[in-house]
Amino acid sequence: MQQARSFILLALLPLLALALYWEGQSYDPGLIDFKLSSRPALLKSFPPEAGDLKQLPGPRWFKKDNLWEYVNGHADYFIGQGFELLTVVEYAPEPGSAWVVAEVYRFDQALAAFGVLMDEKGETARAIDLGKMAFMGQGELSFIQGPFYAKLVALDKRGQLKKLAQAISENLPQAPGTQDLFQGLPKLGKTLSEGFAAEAYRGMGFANQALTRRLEIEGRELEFFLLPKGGQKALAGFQQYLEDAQMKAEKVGSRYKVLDPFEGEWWFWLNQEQALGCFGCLEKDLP
Amino acid sequence: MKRREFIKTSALSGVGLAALGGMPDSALGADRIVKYNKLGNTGLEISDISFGAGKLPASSLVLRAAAAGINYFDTAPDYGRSEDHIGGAMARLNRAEIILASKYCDGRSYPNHLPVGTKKQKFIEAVDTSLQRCKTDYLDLVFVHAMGELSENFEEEKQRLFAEEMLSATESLKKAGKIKHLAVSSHGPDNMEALLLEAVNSGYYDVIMPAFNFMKFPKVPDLLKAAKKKGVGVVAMKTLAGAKALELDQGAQDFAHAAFKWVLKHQEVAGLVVTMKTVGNLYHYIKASGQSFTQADQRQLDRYASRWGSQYCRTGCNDCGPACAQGVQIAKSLRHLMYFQDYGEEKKAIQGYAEISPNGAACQSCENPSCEAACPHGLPVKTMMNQAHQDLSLA
Repeated sequence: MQQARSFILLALLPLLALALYWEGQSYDPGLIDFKLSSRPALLKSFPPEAGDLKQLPGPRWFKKDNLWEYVNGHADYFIGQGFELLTVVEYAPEPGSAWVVAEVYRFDQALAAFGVLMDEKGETARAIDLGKMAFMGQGELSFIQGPFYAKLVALDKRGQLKKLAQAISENLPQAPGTQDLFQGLPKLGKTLSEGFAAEAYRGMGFANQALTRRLEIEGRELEFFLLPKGGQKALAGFQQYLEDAQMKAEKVGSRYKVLDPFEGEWWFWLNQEQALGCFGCLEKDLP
Repeated sequence: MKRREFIKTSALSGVGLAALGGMPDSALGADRIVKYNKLGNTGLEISDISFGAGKLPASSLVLRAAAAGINYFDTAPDYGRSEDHIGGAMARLNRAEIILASKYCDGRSYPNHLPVGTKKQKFIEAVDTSLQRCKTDYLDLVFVHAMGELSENFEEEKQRLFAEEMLSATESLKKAGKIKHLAVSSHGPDNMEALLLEAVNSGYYDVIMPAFNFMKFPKVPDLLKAAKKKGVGVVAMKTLAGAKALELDQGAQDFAHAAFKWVLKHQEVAGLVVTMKTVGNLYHYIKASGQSFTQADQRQLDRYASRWGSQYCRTGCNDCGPACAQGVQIAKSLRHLMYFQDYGEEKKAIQGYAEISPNGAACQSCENPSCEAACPHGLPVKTMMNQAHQDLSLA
């Protein structure tokens, strides 16, 4: 019996050699598969179907080491923002060409996902009610939820994005830390817009990752900004900024009032680890 | 970045004040632009240190720059909200004292250069939109942007340089008073000097903007002489030879001044544009205005070159090519390495490298790297080719 088994194994050797030869001949370095060896749990957030759309086989996922394969020329940007994982799933009513491509990016923090959303949304995109914040443009929908940034693109005009995005949003983990990103910013009068500056808000080298809220109060427009962390470092940067710009600040209580010939009067202060400021504020507007 | 790592600013100092309506002296920094130069035959005089408005964060930075004497502002439709911020500052600027340059581009994110085949009306609409955003009724210069970026094929890009619809639109815009001069810019990566020379010799262009610094582009001085002869103005860009300056252990601040002064010592160069994203950038950069290039500056640049020079294959050189017995396309291979490392075009670089034959694969076992003796810049060509092959072939 053992002899027969040995014979079969020996007989298989040429076949094994042929298979190895064929694999070697068809080797294409461009086809090296960097993908994760196991399916990321994040794939569970993509529904099997939504409305008329059904999930197509062959989901893809990418990490920092191969993100450039999918986001050509833009990978460094995402990685610089704290990218961790991208999952890509395609949808269509029936097997064949995709009608919709759904991408979900996981970042190291919610603020990073928010920053990417603000950078990536089209100029003409309109805000819609989905996830933590969402925008819809021509054939494109993007939203954030916790540290996740999702982008859905309709390759076919018939592809319905909102229903699918809603389903993905419902399935995404409700990660801890999904607090209101803007909660540290005062909410007075009427909010005109909320924004994000990845670096050098208003040309201030120390004001990176700044959250902003533009308000209208008593017929005046003003804008608060918030630097979520590194307050003491921001204060040192603020003082260097004043020196560079040859400007002075007056200390009013725990706050600084800046007399700026180009921006008008503005304020800067610390609140524990956060740094805040306001352009256009009167003292009575400050929290 | 390696793939594996990937994996892992006299006499004219009043000009600035005049450019800014009603700004108090106390607003000014300690340093100002002190030198302005004639821009070819345009009749314009631009500040030697001028304002690159890519990534412009606020209108106030434009006002600060104008108050410091900068009078030339270089923007584009595809520089994000740059034109909007310039428009935000416009009401407080004396338009006649400002030289405003924008580009024939469409859309808000870079790159959106209008390609060959674009209709005349589209060029006109692009300028009209720029004027609306900038809140002004004319541009001093409009650029055909980034020549050599859309195609590595010289003839294809040359078509963009002399596209009839673009030239016709330019003529109409000039007649309407919406633009004053036509200009062209290029930072390569392909055929920069040759394409700009075509522009200079054509008579259609009043200004060129080449990438020019002490590290790369050895053929630019010849281009500058040709431009001077034809009365074509020159504004330089990419003068800092890459962001690696930030990684210098010492004297990083002086480095920017030395690099600027090196460019400006070329009399054909009227001025340079450098991206100013912060108030700190602005007040630091303008300190170089009107300053002479010194021995100390040369030492600073030498330090930089000795640290980084061995990594730069000069665009358009190719002196090593004929020296290779195996006919390896060295310059082309290293250009694709540049796409990968400096332009963030990883996939394009890998695909393009795969089409080069013979490529760096032939260098792996080479025992007579005659290319290194042929390189006028002393680059370790074999090592660089091995690196290119490692990064670009995924081998």
